[in-house]
Amino acid sequence: MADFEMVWDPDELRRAMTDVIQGSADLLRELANITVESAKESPPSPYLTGTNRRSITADFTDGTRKETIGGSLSAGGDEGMPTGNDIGFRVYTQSGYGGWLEIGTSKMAARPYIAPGFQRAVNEIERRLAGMV
Amino acid sequence: MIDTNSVLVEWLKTTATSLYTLVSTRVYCSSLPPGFTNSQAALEVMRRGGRSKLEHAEHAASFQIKCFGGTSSHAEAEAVYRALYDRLQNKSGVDVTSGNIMASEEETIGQSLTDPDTKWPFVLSFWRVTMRPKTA
Repeated sequence: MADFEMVWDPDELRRAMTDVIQGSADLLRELANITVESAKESPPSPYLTGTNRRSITADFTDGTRKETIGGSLSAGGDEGMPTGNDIGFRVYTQSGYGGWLEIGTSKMAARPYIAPGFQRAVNEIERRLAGMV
Repeated sequence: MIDTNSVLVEWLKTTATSLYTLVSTRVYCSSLPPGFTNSQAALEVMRRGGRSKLEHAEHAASFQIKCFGGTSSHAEAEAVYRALYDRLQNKSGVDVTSGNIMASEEETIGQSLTDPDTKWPFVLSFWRVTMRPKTA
């Protein structure tokens, strides 16, 4: 009968978990990056003077530090940011009217650009993941 | 290709629901009609994107729905939003004339906002609704 031995190595498990967390963070950072770039493209981003487009920003956190994506300074604050050790990002504009462009007003039709940008980013990440399998 | 706007609007306009009691047939797609004055409760429905699963003729559309209460009160807009939620949240396998709603789910909880041009209060909501042509 063949011998069978199972070794429980908590250090190995921790290393594996760290790799998974780092991989997830890299993926979400790339998702934020593609979302910002897609939202800035025309279309979908509405364009007149470029003020809103230039202000499209993402704040990303890997649970330990915050990183700003998109070429503008972060708006600061934590509204909409993941809490604790969670990994994630928020996308916003700092033009003062970017949200109304996205959802429209009673006098102006909506011209969504952030939600479609996010959808493009999700599709792109899915394509990349499928290529890795 | 299925007309996703028609399917959703038809579902929201169905009679004998609490939503219909409030908004009746005032479900506007994809923008408010000219002359709308927010004197009666209404919904503004706009498809903002989503995904198509063409191999199954399914569409998982993302809709933006604004709830207007017909007054200058946020409470009335909230009442319309609650009726919309009851009508649309977690519905599955429902047929209307123009198609079948396979699944519907709110993407994020509604936000109470004020229109910057008219100061009308409204609740902004987003929904993921998966649809397909109606089976024979």
